[in-house]
Amino acid sequence: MRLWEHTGTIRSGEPLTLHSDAPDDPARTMTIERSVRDDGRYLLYYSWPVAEADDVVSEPHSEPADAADV
Amino acid sequence: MSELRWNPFLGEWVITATHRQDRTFLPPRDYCPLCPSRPGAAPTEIDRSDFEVAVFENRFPSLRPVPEEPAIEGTDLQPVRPSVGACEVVVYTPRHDATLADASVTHLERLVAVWAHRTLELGASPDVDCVFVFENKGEAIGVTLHHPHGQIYAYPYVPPVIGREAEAARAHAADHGSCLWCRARAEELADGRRIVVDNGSWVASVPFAARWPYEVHLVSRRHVGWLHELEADERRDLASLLRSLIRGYDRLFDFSLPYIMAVHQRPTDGADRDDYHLHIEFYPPNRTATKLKYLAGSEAGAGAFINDTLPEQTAPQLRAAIEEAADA
Repeated sequence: MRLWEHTGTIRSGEPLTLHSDAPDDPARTMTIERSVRDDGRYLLYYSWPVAEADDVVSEPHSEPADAADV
Repeated sequence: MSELRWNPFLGEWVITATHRQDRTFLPPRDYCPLCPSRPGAAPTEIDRSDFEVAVFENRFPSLRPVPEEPAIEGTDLQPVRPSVGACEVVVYTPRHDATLADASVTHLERLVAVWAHRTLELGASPDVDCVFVFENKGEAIGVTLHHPHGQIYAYPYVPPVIGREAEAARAHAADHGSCLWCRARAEELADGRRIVVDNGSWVASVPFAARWPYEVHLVSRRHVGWLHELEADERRDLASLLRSLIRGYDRLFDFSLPYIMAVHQRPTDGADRDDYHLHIEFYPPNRTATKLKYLAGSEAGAGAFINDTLPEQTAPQLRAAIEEAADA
């Protein structure tokens, strides 16, 4: 079963219908805030209501590669 | 100025995008356009102080929903088309110095959900024939912004690599009545030498005919074509696998390894593409800790890749690096 489904096909442009019964599925619980900038470009913020136990970004465990390293 | 020009010799479209010459190039951290906006500082692309995942239209797009008319007139032999489509930036985190290796499985699972949502929304447009999620990581790949982010291109045509894969899949199904990727995955699992990770719903391996030394392909066990077809547990397994692989890459040479990540999904052009199987490809450019593989004469001039390593030797190195990273 697809996670989201269009009423028609993937090209139909109809609104998305979510098919997910898992209560903690991030696709089910996410909120999408849409806005449009002054220059006409869209901007979307995806957020979730509950910060899961391991939903933390740990400290970097290695330094980014420097151009001189490679 | 942006347009599509047809290359009749290779049978493929080339996107011209001259305005991209002016795009932001490796700005200092204080001027990062992908960091959250701060009081008293110049506004960034992120108009709030915090967020989890942000997606926006690229300020310097190669493709746009309402493109300008081509600046040059084409011919029957070499036609020109407007560069309709979309180019999105996906900002993974507010943290400027992080990478996907630093993200939790939960955060990666949420990112996969965002990719899936964008795929379906963009792919629904009748102008879009293929949605391509990707990440360029590291200066060696040519990134222009260090802040952790990926991109999504919504093409108005099926791009050459995915088109060739789709044709190979169609031919294989016609000859053998089965999926090309499902068969190759079964062969790899039976052989075992090139397997990197097998976590139940996903299998990662160095391809038999890898073009890059540490190239890895992630293939879902279930035959699906798009990210939005994955079940919740399959997306969580993918998130877990992504984390393991990227942390293993970083462990391989003990620095944050540059790579290209390419999510290959079924085209959305309306054609019968049921044979096409969702998979994700990683191409790190390094062949050693200090040497890069370049696309030189044979690769760029003839399209013939030469791999200086054997997949049967690089896969065990990656398995060991992933195990070490997991224990760290």
